[in-house]
Amino acid sequence: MRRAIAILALLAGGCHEPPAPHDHILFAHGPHLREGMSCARCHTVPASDGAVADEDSATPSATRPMLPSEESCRGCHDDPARDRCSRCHTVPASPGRYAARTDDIRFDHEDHDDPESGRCVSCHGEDMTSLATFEPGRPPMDTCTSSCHADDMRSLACARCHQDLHQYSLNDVALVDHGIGFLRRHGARARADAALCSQCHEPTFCEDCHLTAQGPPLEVYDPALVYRDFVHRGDFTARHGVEAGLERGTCARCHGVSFCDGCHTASGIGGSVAPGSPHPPGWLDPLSSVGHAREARRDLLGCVSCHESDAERTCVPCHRVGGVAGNPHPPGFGASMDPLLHGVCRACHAP
Amino acid sequence: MGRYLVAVMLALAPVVARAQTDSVPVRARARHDAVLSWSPRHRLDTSTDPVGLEQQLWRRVDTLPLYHRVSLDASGLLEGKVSLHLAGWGALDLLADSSGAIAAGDIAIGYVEVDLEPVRLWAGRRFIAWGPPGGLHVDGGGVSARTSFGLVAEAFGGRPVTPTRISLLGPEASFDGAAASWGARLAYTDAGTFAASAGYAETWSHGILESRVVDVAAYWDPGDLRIEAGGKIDAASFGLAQARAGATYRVVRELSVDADYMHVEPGRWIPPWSILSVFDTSTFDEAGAGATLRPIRALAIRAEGAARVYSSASNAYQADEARVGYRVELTGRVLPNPGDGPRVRVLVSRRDDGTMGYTLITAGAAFDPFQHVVMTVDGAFAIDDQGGRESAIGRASVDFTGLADWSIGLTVALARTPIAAAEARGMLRIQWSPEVGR
Repeated sequence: MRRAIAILALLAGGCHEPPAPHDHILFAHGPHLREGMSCARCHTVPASDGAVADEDSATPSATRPMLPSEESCRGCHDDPARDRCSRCHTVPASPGRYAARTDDIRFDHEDHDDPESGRCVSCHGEDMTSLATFEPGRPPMDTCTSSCHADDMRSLACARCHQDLHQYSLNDVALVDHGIGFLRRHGARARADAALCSQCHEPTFCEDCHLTAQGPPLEVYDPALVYRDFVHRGDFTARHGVEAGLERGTCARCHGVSFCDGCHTASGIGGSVAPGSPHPPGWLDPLSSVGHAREARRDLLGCVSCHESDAERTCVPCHRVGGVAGNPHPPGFGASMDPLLHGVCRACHAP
Repeated sequence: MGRYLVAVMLALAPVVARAQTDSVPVRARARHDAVLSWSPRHRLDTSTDPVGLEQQLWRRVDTLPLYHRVSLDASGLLEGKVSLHLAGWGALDLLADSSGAIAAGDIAIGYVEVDLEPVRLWAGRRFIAWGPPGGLHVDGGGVSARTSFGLVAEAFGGRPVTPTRISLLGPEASFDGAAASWGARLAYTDAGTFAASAGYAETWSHGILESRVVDVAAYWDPGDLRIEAGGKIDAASFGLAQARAGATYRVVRELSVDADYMHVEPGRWIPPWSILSVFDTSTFDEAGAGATLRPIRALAIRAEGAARVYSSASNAYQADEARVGYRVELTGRVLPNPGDGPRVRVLVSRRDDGTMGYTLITAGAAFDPFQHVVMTVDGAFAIDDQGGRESAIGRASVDFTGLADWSIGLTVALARTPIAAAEARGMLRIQWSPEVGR
């Protein structure tokens, strides 16, 4: 078995040379700021025709317009002895360009603020403790959503800035703690704000469990999801009778009251057309500890799962008006039942 | 049915690709699982012996079902305004000897949604999470609007096809009366911090009222405290069909504690067209507490316990009914970053409703022995205090993921059930999950 797996892995992975190192461009903001340079000196927002308003500003890079071209840097760094390639390039033998801008965020500096205004630090300077060590990076999302974009956050207009939330890992973007035991808690949250769930989970994700179809559940046919919470772990079919008795009614929340009937009928266990009865001796004795009355009051949905379609033949002969059994109605029954509308009333209460 | 669904998806893929524009990214994700499983079933047959006594014997019935599960989500279509969602299943039994349906299948959801910001319209078959317990699948349409200040309003109408009342999805031929469902919901949300929602849904089937449900749900996450609550009120005969409330407090980063309350009145879920809806039945309430310890990011250990109280007797027949039960659970989970080690989950659960106790142990681990290979071992053992209904299963699976968009898996299992002392099972799985736009 191990040999077969190893062969499969070799076929898939193949043999590769280690990748060549990529060049990175080194830059420190601190020393430049200490020299009194403004942000706009290097970071320009070119007009649509490519023109730069201030002639003292750096010419923009061809690939990253908000970053200065190498030619602009050489305007200051022009000492051949001191300003060698390795000063800025990690792999000077094969110098590269600026790393391509990631396109996961829709953002336009021109729409936000002009570097000339000097207000770059309002977004990029949140973590600034000193000029010497200042390295502006992409501001955290909270910088945007706690101020100008609070409404976007509230209305879940994530697509206004994010191209695709699915590319992030759950822990990076989840506003909801999906920790262990979340399965029990997810219902109220999903009903209160399903749109929040759908920012990451497609609608078909719900159907992984709520589909309630015949066939194996997801935890069976995708065993690698061993770490996730599921309701039907293990050989649930073999133990469902016990669990249904302990969690009365909870099965019917998803499966419906007649869900059991089809399988039980096919298996010859109870059901409306099954020849054998699964009930123990004394079942019809109302005072027996295993009598049907006590069990029916404890778990009527258990009765319904097999007897809904033949209840009139099974229950009514004894429980009808004038029958030998007692009144089956619970206290206060009748508030919503109209004998003219509900045919079931007429089964016992003849007009 | 599964083949048809796959064919539809394959036909849709080029359409999705053609719809891609420069300005708004089109993203489409599909998944098709084909599962061929060999698992014996058992049938209880009744026969008469030579002396005329009736006897019941279990007869083994071999089955070989081929199960398909397909899903497709496409968004960003037609300049970002249209999304399409489809999920369905199909099953075909390859052994003629098996009992029950030879072939079955259905569409679980299939709808198109149009985003006309701030209004969204949808049409097709969709799952409505609010409404009757367990949710509602409906064929119809709906509209929703979400304002920039967090107000959400939505409404739907259509024909109920929910599986909460029938065994399979889709309208049943036996429906002999009008079936309709509609509802509306109003909510305020501050995403990730607070949301409160109130909805009303009404369902008619067989020409008579099936349910009127007021659904309320809310959560509030002020810092280290997280609170959620929800309830479904039976508005037809006023009462609480189910309710749940819980709160979690993060004491320190590594430890959080929580409390939970649940009320369930299952009798209110029986549709009024059933004669059994006029019978009395019990409710139960559960109050519990738990603690989750997370000493390192990848490890979580959770312990929880709950007491259950079953409804008081309203009739002499119920005088001996158990009144109090309990549930205790211990769960451990190891979940490192992808590729950083095995994923492990262990659960030990003990439940007792006062007349019967039940212990369940499940454990599983998935690990990556080689690149593109995932191996999983898992098992479960369950036993009730009265004995005779114990069950156990052990499974081993290997999945190969080295082919682009494809995964092939094999599972073998050995099980003990209340019927069979030992039986072997097998499963061959093929998954195809292409994506566009990532």
